[in-house]
Amino acid sequence: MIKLVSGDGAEFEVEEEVAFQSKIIKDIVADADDVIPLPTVSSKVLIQVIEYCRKHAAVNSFPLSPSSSAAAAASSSSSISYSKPVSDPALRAWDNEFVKLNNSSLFDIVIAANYLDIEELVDLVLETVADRIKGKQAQEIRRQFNIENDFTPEEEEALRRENSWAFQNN
Amino acid sequence: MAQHRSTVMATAASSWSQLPIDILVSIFCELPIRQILRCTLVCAHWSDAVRSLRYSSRLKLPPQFPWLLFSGERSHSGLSVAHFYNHLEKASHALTLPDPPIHRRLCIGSAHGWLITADHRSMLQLLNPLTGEHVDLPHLPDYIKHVYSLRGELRHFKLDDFPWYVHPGELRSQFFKATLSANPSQGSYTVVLIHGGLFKLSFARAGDEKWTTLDGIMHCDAAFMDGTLYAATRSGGVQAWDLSAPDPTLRHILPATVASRSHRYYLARTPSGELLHVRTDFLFGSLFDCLTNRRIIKVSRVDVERGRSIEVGDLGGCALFLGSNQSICLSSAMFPGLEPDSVYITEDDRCQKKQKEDEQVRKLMAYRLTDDKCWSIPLPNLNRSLLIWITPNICNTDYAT
Repeated sequence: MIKLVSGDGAEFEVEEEVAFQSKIIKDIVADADDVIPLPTVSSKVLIQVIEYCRKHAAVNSFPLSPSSSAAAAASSSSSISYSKPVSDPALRAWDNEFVKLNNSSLFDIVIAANYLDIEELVDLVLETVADRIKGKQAQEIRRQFNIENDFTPEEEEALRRENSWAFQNN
Repeated sequence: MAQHRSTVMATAASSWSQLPIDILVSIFCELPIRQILRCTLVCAHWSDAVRSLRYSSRLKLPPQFPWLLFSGERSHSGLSVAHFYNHLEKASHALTLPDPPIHRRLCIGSAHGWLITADHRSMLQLLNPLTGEHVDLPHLPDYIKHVYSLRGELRHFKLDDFPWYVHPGELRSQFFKATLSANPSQGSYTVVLIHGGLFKLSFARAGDEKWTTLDGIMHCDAAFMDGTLYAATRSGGVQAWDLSAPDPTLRHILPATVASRSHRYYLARTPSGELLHVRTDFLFGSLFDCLTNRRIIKVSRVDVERGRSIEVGDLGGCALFLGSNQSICLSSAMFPGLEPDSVYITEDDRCQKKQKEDEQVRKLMAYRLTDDKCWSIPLPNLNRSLLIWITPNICNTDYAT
């Protein structure tokens, strides 16, 4: 078992295969003890991240069947094919449920996942965010993600002129 | 939640406007180009992230839906304006381009988001319409000779392989098609030109001062795959050139079959890296009167190792975009509204050299391989003298590296 300590002092005991979904933790455990302080991750976020890792550790513990590893190899060998390796549809559905969070929670998770180097979780959140940005003008994006417009009117006008075709609604 | 964060994440980013640039760039990489540009207006930090994406030469954006460049004009304020059309979104975009004006250029090819154009003096140039970057290409291939008058004025050009003198203003009509091996904003590239009365093939690498003309005649398309230049001939043959050697070496992949005036050949690379050889057999003018159930486009998969080809009955869900551009092959699953197993082809009659460049209204049509259905795609009702597919590309050259 590995003990993770959140920034606000909460302790979580998790199995190795769950914690090792994070490449950083895997590296730390290799040359340190089993109590790992994660000062920048709050307990609320850590609970969610552990939930994700537990699910994925359970699914990933089955070795890849020859056909799916061949499919993964085929898709990575082609440099202009962008389709993601075929993954377990049930896990995909679980992931989709997992990211049904508000943008502020997603932000905390992507920061934590990036810090802990959990690649699949980072990708999952990034895809979700990209989907939420698609089709929106800057003003809607600002509102949705609670971002302040820090341009001067002149700066904004200059940017608008530079790529004016992209800002038209059609 | 606010309480947790106030103590432990004081130094970390705390809002979407402070997300690390590399994470933001990864998000933007999932978006269509137009949406990426819209993100520049969100805040200064996001704007920096978009700039970083545009200048990072190693980044690969997902495939973008090709636009049609359909006309150009001089705007009231004297700027060169090009009109593009996205037929899936039914949206047209007007972009301001650097001189020489686009409506006076002949577009002889497009590849990797760049146009290859010849201006009224037949000077060849690469141009990325989205970034405005341009690169002058070497002057005419060596075998095109200048003929001067007694007073020293350029009167004509004389081509070894063309029986008549060519007026300086018409030389560019001897340029049939051009393509690129790679995106010039990402470093090295080779440009290939099919030209002259015998449709010879010449190439020039980035920085070359001269064209190198290859052996062989009657070419009609060229495509790069895995560092090899493949060339299709007008009689149905396919050749492979290794340009990496000091003396380029030739390998015949498919033999010539029968030359027919009604056949056109194209080469395309599929997303999974296979070479397709496409033969079209129709005339645009007659096509729209007779929506036949005839097989007017044949697609074959080329086995480049064994020198064989096998006709295919579908495109594996992909769609092909053909014309004067470097052929584009996209998975239709990525673009809702795009018909799978279909060929979208622009009218391109430049094999018949007597075009009237300014008066044409070229057409766009689609043909589905699986049921031989053929349909015409409506385009904005404007002068369509250019009509060429181009994949929008917003990447700038990073001169710092």
